[in-house]
Amino acid sequence: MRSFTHINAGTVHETCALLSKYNGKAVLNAGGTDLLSTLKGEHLFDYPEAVINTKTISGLDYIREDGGVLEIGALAKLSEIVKSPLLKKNYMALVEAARSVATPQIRNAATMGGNLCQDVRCWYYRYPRHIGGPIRCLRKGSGPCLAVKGDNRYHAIMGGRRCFAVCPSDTAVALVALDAQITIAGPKGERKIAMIDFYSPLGNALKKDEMVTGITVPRITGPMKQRYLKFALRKPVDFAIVGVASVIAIEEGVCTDVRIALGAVAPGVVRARRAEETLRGCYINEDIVSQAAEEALAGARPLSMNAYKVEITKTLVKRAILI
Amino acid sequence: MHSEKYLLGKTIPRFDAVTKVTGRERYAADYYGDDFLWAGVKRAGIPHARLKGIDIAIAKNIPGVVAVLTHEDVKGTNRYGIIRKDEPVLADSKIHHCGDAVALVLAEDKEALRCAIESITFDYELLPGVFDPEEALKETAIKVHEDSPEGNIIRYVPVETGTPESAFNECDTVIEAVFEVSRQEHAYLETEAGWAYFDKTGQLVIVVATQTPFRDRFEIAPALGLDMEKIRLIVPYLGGAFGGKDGITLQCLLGLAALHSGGRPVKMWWGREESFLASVKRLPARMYYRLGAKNDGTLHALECRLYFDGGAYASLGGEVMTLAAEHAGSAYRIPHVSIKGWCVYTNNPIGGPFRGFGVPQVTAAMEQMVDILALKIRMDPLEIRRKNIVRQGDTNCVGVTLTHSTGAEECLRVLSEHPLWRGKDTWKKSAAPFKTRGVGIACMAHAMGYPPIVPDVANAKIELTEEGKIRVYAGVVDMGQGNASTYLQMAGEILSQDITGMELVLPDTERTLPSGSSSASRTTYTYGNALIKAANTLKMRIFEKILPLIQGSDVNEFILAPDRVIHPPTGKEVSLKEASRFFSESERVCTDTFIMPVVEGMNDVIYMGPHLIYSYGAHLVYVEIDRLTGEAEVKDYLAVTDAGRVINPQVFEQQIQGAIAQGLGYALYEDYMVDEGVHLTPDLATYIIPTSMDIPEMTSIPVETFEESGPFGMKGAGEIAMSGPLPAVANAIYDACGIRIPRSPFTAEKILKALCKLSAIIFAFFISKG
Repeated sequence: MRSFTHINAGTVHETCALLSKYNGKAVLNAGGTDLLSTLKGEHLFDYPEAVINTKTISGLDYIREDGGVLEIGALAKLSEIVKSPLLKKNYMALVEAARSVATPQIRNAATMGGNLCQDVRCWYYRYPRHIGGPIRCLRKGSGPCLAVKGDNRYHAIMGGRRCFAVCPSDTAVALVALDAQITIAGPKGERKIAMIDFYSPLGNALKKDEMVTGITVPRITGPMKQRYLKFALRKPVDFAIVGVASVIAIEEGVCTDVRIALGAVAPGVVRARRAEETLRGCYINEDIVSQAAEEALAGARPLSMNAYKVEITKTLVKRAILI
Repeated sequence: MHSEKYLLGKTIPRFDAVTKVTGRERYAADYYGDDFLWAGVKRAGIPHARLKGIDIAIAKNIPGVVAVLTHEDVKGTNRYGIIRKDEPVLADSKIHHCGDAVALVLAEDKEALRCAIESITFDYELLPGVFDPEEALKETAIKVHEDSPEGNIIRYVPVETGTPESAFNECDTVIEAVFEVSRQEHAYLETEAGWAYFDKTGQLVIVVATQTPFRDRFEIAPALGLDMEKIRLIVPYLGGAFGGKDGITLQCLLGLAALHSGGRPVKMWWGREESFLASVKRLPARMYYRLGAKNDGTLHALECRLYFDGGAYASLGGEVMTLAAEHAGSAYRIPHVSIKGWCVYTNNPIGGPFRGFGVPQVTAAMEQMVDILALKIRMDPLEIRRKNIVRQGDTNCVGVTLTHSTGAEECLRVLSEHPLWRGKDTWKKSAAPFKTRGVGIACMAHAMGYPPIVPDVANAKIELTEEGKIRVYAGVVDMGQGNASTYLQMAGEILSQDITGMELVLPDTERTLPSGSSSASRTTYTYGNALIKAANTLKMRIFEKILPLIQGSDVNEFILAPDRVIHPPTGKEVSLKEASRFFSESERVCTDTFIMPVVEGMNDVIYMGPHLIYSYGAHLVYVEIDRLTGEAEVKDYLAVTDAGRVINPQVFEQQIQGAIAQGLGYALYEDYMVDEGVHLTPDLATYIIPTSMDIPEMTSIPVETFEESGPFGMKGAGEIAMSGPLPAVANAIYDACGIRIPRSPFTAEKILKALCKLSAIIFAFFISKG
């Protein structure tokens, strides 16, 4: 790790001002569980001049329901999300997703905002400096994606263009299925965008001087079955090879509403809209769910080594709906 | 006399338990002092190149940098290596793998160190590399070491018994298969660390995490041009090693740093990525097997060709492959055998010792072969093993008659009577939808100690201190397996002392005696035997010394008790402290030597000669496969082990459980991937090892044969269980869903692909049948 200026931020406004001042040369630190490995591995060409500690901003760790709308502050710990009675009652997909992250110790430090903003796990992108890296690629400014010709077993099976690293966040997948919005603060105030629009192939929607302050989830009407299923090499403490979140309302065996989100298959989270349409209004049985799973993966274009992810995603979609 | 078993066979808390769990124990990385310097290394990061020049100008001028050293600063041979001196302290003419050290920096703080390492550049001509052992054997292959007399061959080992050529014609069934196993990283908790300085007498003192303090001196001295007698190694407890610290890791670099530190102590401590990059790995292997049997299941002939990827330097790769060749037939009687093994240089990470030392690789192959054969001749996998398993008096695959304890058959018997074996069919039938269950077994053997050409010697030393305490000088490193504590338990048994009241001196080339490496399942056996003799001498000496004091008539009338000697005929007691006063300085210490017995007169059978004494095991595993994702989950595990008598059941069980966990990692997840020199799994986020959550319930049953030559009847238990999990899991996967994956680990990805292929074949079969 190299030396940097460490600044404790007092407010969101101050944080954005600092981000403006450093003009891309500062990074935010909340739980630090992702940032520290980035700083230590030095796999980026640019090293931050300043690390702005956001943990000192008070009042950003809320988990509350306001008029049926769920609000979670960016500094809410994943362990609080796992424990929250409110979330366990109505937002089980998010609870399951948060619980699937890393270890209890890491969840005690990791935050909602940090989990959404974490950097990708691509092993070429993250290749450490001291062992022959860093490797140049488009995500770092310029260069080809090494995963295309190299070992791409964990890379994108859809939506990849120029960069095939996948979005590693588990909670983002659940939040997309819950139709959440993400609140972004900048020097000129706040804006809200849909969770699904947050990620782009080479990063996310944050501008240099912006930060995530929280998420909101619209009112849940009626009983909804929610799931987050994660498939990884190792059960605990591992990043998803595939993650699938589902939120589904079933009345008398008929699907009245459904949202399905696919994680770790693309640079961002993918909504399986065609699959949802297939299910909506139909009696839920194995045939229709299999059909939906096929449709969910209809756009998949696997790379040389990751076709198995297509099959696993289909299975997870089926399980998320049926079980 | 005291009761027959004072401490023996009892679970008593390890001597190191409290200091370790409370954080008081000092490991090599915990050594700090005033005014010390940090030492660090610039690594090559490229797999194969001719080194043309190193630019250290910028690094030298960075404030806080004390010295920047290259190969030109190495005054000795700049080469080390246990068998072949092929590894440079700092790279000179060529770079042979990504982890090569190019320059060494000494700095006041870690920040200056980092900046300096970062600023060092070197001129090179990139060379094409060789990354596959069979490719490396071709005439036209790139030569990793141009000066190597046999090209890329580190070691070629042929073994032949009987008449294998004609024996295959006598078989009713012959099967053939190829197996590949992955490169495994030790991933010990404690990364390589050390502390070095020159003391007032001009002696180089190195405090370091190593398995081999005495042997290391033979390597450091010539490499750096130092006098071996002027090097002292002190080895605290290790935070794990598993073979990865068997030999030089950072010792030479530390010594070189101390030579240029201006008299200040130097500290070096590798991070996880550096440890992964530079350390040795379990050798990946490709193994071609051919096995022939009679219709009744009698194994008759075995032929195998083993290709082990030794990586950039010889290390002990050739010896690892040799032990593999010796164990290629697992624990069975096979009269006609032809084994050919090659350990080969490549530009991959260095292959070296790792718990099992080649045996897990070949056991993975052979135990799958036995199951394939059993299926072919419609025999039960347990029955075919029982029929062929070695018994005492049998001749093993390399022609050695097993005259010592041989409990392999007993292991199988215990396994066959266990509820997990008896209940397997019921368990298999109760699988949930889309799940399919299988049960697999595997046998294993593991030779103990060094081969005959390297005498397996230990020198024990025990002392009655002035304070009347018993002090054991352990010359063999305790890398976490608990052997040091077991030494105290053994001495305590003989001297009737509780281990908490005893003292322990960990390996120190100045204070303890040379006793060989902490490896080869030998530490407790060899040192323990020497210690028993020394402790008995001390006991008699204590009795002799107080005989006049008590005015007793016979030393045999005395008994020892914690901290005192008792003379039952008179009821008199003398404290050990009191007794100690009658000892002169030289009399306090008793030493003794033990040399492990070996096979005599058969050294031409195999390179280095064959082993005499073996531990054995039989494992059983329950595996559940998710048919839709391919995920294999281990549900239950049974390990039956013959490692002779058990001294401390808890320490024994820890060894078995640890090996099972490491073995399941080898079977299911662990694959240190290198793509033409690029390390794809350079850290613990990408190199996946099992956590406690991934490990099933493990049952360990010792069969406790009595090894006559062993200390209190024991044999080595550190490695044996490492070889079972991979083949047992492979056999269980086949039992569950009829697939064999030729290359481990058995990840969901591979199982799913095989399942899809299988269903396509079945589909095609039904189509063709109309």
